[in-house]
Amino acid sequence: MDCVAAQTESACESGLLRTAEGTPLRPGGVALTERAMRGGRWRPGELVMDLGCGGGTSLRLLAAHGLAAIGVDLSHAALQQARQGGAGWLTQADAASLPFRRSSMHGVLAECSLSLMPDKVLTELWCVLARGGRLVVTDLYRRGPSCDVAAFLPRCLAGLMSAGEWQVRLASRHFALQRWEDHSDVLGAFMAQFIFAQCDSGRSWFGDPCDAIEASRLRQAIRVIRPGYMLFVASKEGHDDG
Amino acid sequence: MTSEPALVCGRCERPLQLGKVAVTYLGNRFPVELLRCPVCGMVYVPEELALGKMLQVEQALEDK
Amino acid sequence: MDGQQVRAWEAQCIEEQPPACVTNCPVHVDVRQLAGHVRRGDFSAGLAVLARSIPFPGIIGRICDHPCEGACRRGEAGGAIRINALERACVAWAGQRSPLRPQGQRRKNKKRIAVVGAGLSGLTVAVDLATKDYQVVAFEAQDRPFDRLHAYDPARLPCSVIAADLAAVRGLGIDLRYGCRIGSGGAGTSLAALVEEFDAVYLGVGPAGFPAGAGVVALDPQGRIVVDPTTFATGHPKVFAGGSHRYGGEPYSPITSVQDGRYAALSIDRLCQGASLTANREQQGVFPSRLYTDVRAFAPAPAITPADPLQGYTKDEAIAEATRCFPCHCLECVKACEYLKHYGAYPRRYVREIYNNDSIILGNHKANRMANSCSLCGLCAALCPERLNMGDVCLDARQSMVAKGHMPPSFHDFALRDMEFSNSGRFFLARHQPGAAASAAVFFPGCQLSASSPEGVAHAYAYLQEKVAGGVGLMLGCCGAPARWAGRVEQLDATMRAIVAAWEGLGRPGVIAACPTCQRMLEEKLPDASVTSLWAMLERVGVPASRPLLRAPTFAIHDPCTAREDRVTQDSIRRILAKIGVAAADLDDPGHTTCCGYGGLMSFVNPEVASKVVRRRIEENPADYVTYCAMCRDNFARHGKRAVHVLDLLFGGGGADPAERPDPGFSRRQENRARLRSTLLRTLWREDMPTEEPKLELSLSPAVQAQAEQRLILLDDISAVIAHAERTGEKFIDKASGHCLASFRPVSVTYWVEYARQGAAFVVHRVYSHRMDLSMEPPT
Repeated sequence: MDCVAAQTESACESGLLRTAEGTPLRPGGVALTERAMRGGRWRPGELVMDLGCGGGTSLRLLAAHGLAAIGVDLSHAALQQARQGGAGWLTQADAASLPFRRSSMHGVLAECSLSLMPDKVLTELWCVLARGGRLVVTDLYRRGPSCDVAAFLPRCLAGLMSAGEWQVRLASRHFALQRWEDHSDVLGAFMAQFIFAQCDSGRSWFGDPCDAIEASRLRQAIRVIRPGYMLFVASKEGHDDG
Repeated sequence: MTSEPALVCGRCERPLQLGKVAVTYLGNRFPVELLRCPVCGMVYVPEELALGKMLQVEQALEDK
Repeated sequence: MDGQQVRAWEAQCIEEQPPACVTNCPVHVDVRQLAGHVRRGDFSAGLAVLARSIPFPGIIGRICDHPCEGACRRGEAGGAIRINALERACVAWAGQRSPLRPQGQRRKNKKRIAVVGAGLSGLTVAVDLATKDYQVVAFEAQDRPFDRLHAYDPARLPCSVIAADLAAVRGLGIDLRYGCRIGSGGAGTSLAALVEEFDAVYLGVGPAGFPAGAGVVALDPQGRIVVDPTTFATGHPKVFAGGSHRYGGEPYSPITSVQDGRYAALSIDRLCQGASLTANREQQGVFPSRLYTDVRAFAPAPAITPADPLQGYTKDEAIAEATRCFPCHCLECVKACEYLKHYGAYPRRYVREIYNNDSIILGNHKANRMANSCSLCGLCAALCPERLNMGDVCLDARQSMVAKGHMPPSFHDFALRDMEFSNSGRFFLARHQPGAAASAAVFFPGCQLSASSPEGVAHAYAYLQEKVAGGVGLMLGCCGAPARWAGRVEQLDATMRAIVAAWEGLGRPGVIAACPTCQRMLEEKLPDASVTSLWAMLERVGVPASRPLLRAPTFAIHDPCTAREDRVTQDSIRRILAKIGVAAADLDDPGHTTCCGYGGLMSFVNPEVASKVVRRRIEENPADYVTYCAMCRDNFARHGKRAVHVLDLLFGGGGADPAERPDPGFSRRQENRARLRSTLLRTLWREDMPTEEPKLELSLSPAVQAQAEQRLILLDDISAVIAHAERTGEKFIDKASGHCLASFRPVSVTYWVEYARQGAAFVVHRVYSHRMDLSMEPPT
């Protein structure tokens, strides 16, 4: 179970799992990325960070719209792939400690990456954004109640926050929530493609076939928390010091 | 990897190649890579896939 | 699903109700559990169970007056369990006993309680309250506690036993004061003073009158305190009383004294917390048990007598006696139904799981399938002492799942499409008798009988036309039972509307139903119609002479589950069999018949459970079975059981040995229905069908046939694939074998067929299917 969960996480996070079209497997695909970009309302020439840029697909999209896009990722393998794909600026860095000056970014795009990161990353992003700069996030969230079977969930699902929790958290970090949209309908297609993309035909989405009890508990936990997918746009409020 | 039969398209007499196919089930739509004729696009679904991953996906989507 | 209805269903299942030994013990010692521990030789665990309810297990183990034994159900099978002797054995053989300690060590209770009389009831009050951290002072007139108990024969109740019980409670810190008589002037205090000084007072003063209570509590003319039997309250709000003073003490009942102390302590605790004294006390003390146990299942066995009565049971003797405990359980339905047994629990738990699954509070995925695996046959209700019908629960759950869009399509899709076929133009028919313009009656053979015995149906219809006056029409179709069983209310209504319309179109004739399931459905949905079974009608018009059988064995009669409550049809069948000279005996009580696996669409949703169900039925009797439902007959046949339908015996079909007739299989069922319709139209109504597409000739090996059957793929589907492939050329060729591989999607399933042409026929090598839809657009 842990092996599959780990595989799931690294596959998702690194953006290395690919769809039939060859694009990185990500809920909502390119269509959702474009929608996210429109939410950012960035103007050509503005500096936008792709947090967790993976193989660089979104970077290229940002660049295609005339934005000065800079990709940040912890994974060396992902950055190599992004470089080979022709992405421009890339930095290997920990999101909790970004190598940028305060208020230097006009925008941050974080697709399927923020929910896996510790809380201080949000503070770090606030520092790095200029006043009025927009943070655009697409990610998993929790539509149902949290439950105490989190032990059976893979890491990417165990700590999901609800819409309400997100809103409280953003407000407490001095972000103004401009838009919140539910896009949970993309998860079905995402999960189906994930199953097809697995190279080991014996494995299922829910773990090793012999581990039927774990698999059943995992499905039960998922039915309780009801993972969903969201897009939100938030802007930096408050004065900055630098 | 299971050994695939040496299939050709009956109409076009061409060997099959992997290609993108749009799949729908219960309102979910997604692309999958499958063997198909490079000329007419006819798609081949092997038995192991139909009774394996396809069935898993169908059951997972029915579960929701 | 409605929460209130669910709770009502749960309450009907009595399996969790305490057994007679527990409910007849005034303090509800879990005797069944204790006996279970002793049976395993675990005396410590047995003592722990006893000590949970009894503060002085050593004493009670010796002198309890055990009303539980009077109620023990083993008394009806050899002799009641010697429960008290088992308790004594637990005390004797358990080894070290851990002393009692107060429970809430953190917070010291500030309330002070006075107990007058250190007898069984008073010290029970003291122990119970001290355990809850109350500060208890016990006033005893004599110079020792349990004074009366010392009057017992020491062989029966040794002082050492009393001392051991007292030692175990020493850690509770009860302040025992001897030589203190309440109410005598001088050194003693008055009751009024106690009431003043303490937060509550308990009077366990023994059977004699208590004049010292005058002025504080109400006394009866004999000077005995008037005590409320539920709350043990007296005339004074802070004073409670009980024990032998309350119930008279002649004869002395140690367990009643303990009971009084237990519940008086409860009242005092509630008083001190400001809670209601009277709430939730209905099951206090002795009450009748709701648990049902079928004692007849157990051979009588006499009680074990100890070799040395003075010493009590040895370990082995105690274990032997405890083994006589059944133990009491209901589980009547679980014993009889493989479906209920399969999930390892009992209805009360199943109802809760199914409800949780429905309300998605915390549901296990398997509850989806579980609610859809019940055959809805009603056997459980027939056996349940409270008449709980799991079929009602499961059907409600299915309807809820459908309404919420949670019903997995793959469960019932095939069966529903089969029903649609039966109501399509290929089978549906509603006609007056040929040459007649009106129908006094209409024959409704049903879709499964038509699929299984089309010739039998044709002969039966011919016979009815001959014998029934006023014209007998014919209606071919499906009564909608699959839609009901699938929880599809709208689809059922649509089906019934078509049937009602056809029936009204025929002039609202009386309906002659051959199938008990159809009969139930039509009785319900055509309330204005007179619906009779074919069998009752045959008795009325005269049973035809039967066909001679190759073998004439004595049959065993299997009543279909939908005929469970239809005594009229059950009796008709038996009379008909007798009339035609067929020897047949009941399998068992017709009201306790089981489903064959088709009911409720069980065999589609859960083939494993359905198999268990039908095998159990088949193995009940080695004789050939005779039944009057086509699905029952075919299910038996498919599992290797020789079985005939009554129609086979009367009207033929199945050749000389109808019991050998195999299950036709899904493909042939549809083909038989279609052919029955077209044949009758041609021969009776002289209407020719438009020439259908020439049928493809298919050749399938038995292995491939089995594969198709198991994967729910019909020959029609296979033909459709091959016809499509041959017509359009859309197929793949395997260069190595030369076989063709093609697919076709009629409605919601894509079928794949591997085949090869052999002369005029097509040999089918492999079939499989999937539900998801692929677009076959050419690549851009």
